[in-house]
Amino acid sequence: MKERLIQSMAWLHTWGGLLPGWLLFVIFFAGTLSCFDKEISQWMRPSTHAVAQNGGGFSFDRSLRLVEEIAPETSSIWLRAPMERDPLPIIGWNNAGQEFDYHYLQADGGTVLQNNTRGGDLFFRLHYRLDIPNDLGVFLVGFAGMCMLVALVTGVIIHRRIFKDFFTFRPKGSKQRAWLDAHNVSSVLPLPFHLVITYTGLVIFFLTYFPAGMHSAFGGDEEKFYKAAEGGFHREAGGRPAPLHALDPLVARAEQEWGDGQKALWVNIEHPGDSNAVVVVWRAQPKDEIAWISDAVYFDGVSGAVLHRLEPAGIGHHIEHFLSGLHFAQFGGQTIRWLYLFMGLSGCLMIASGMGFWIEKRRQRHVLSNAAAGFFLVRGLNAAAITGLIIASAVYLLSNRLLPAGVDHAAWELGLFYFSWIAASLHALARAKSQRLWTEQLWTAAILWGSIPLINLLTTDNSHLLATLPAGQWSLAGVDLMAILFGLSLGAVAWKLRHKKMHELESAGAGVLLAPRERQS
Amino acid sequence: MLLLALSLTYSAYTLLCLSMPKHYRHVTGAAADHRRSRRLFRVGGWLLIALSFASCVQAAGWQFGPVQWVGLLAAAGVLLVFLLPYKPKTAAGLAVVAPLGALLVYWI
Repeated sequence: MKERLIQSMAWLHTWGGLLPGWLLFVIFFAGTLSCFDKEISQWMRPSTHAVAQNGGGFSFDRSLRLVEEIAPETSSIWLRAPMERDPLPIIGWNNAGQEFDYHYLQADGGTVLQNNTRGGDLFFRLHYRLDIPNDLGVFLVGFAGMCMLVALVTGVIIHRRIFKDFFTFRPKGSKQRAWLDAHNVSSVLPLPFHLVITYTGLVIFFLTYFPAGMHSAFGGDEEKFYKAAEGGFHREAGGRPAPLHALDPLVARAEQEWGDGQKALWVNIEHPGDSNAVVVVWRAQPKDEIAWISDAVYFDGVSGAVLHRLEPAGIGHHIEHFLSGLHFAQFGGQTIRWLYLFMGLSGCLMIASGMGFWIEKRRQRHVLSNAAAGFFLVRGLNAAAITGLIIASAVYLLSNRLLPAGVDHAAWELGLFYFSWIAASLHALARAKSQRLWTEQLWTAAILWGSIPLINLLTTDNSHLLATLPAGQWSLAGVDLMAILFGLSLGAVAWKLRHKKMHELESAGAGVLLAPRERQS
Repeated sequence: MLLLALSLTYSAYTLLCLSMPKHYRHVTGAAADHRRSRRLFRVGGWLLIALSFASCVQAAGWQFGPVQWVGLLAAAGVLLVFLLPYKPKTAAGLAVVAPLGALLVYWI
């Protein structure tokens, strides 16, 4: 009975892990980079680095005037103050039923930033919706996330020596053994992280994945549900024009109401210029909470009288905010973010080594039989998803520094990202039968990531490590340091695989995967 | 404080690792098992695990401390496991040197 259970769980683990494995690697790697999405965005806007940040220049009223210049007729305006991790102010607006339009401002808050980039937002959107604009991406990620949970649970069941082999890694044994050990170690040691990050990731989209409860209680009216869950205040436009109250005094009143030196982060204006205008001042996230804590004061946009104060979230809503807060890792500062980065990389290693093990286990059998086409397809796709994405991400960052100033950065960077990913994938599929596939891809990735700090040094005046480290600009320096870390680790793996190959070829005589030309060399 | 918590976690894992005969033989090169010291390693390891948890909670509070601790457990574990096959003696020595070094940094 027990043996049968383990066998069927092993089957589920193998196929439930392999088939969404390519998707899972993309989600994990993009998620890992998203630990530093705001830092990457900041890094990719070098024209703002030299401008004195926040030199007393920011004011909500000043940002509002910029919106009025660009979009004088709009029904809703959002303004964001500079944040520690995201020092550029944001202005945004939309008209009823239209897409939200937003722009970053120059660091002094005086002008709208031209020639924008998608920055770290690309990795964030790749992480939670595969950069697909409609809900399909969210559902694909949810499907992969469910598979991941199944793979984690079945993995624990089929791992017979989870405690005995807790510290075991045997890189000098057979290649199959080494892959399995690496897979076990990178799965078991950060297992609490893997479980929590996968589960909380699914929780964030619970309304999209399981809308049944909301539908039965609120008759499918999503807006009604959110109003009941989050509270808030809304009123229709009055239709008569009226001048808007100055924003900064309202912000000061809201901050006084919160006390404890809490600062406003967002200001939202509904129906600006109307007699029924509402100004909502949203508080920044408190520094000592994992759960996202919303708090807002609603003012009459004309008289400036207080209309409403947001109630604290109910217990169910608070738990949901706690779980998504654990996932978003916006708490605990740089320490938590670097730890998440590290554990995210362990997750990438877990997925990659799991797929590597699948290949190694089947190598002899499939290469000697005639039914090897599927096997080589998997091998090529593994490299396309794993090293292909790693290469494309480096190209994306490099293109930001190397593209000339005149071109549309956002479009070209994105284009080069996908172009290099496709190119790396074609190389992977073309070289799927070659023993050198992995080392070629890994060396390319290592060189590209390693060159990021150097290219940065050559192309910028204020944004490279020699400038940011002495100035203590850790969020900018962090991106270069991360690139060095990636370059070195990828290089180390490439170096190891090269040695392994030689070693194993000699001892096992397993040259079957080699193309004839390479076998001679 | 983070450095201290990380090195405590590392030492804890090293002790637990040494309480297992195969790793003990690998690190020390001894032919026989270590019946008597085994229990000592195991108890010491768990004590240090508890201590590292306490130091995380002490430094970062009950909300962030446990999250940080899980991260440090993973980091220390991966460091130990990937060091062990290549430099077993260094890996074990680091368990003694790291907490002392961290304490020194903490005092300075």
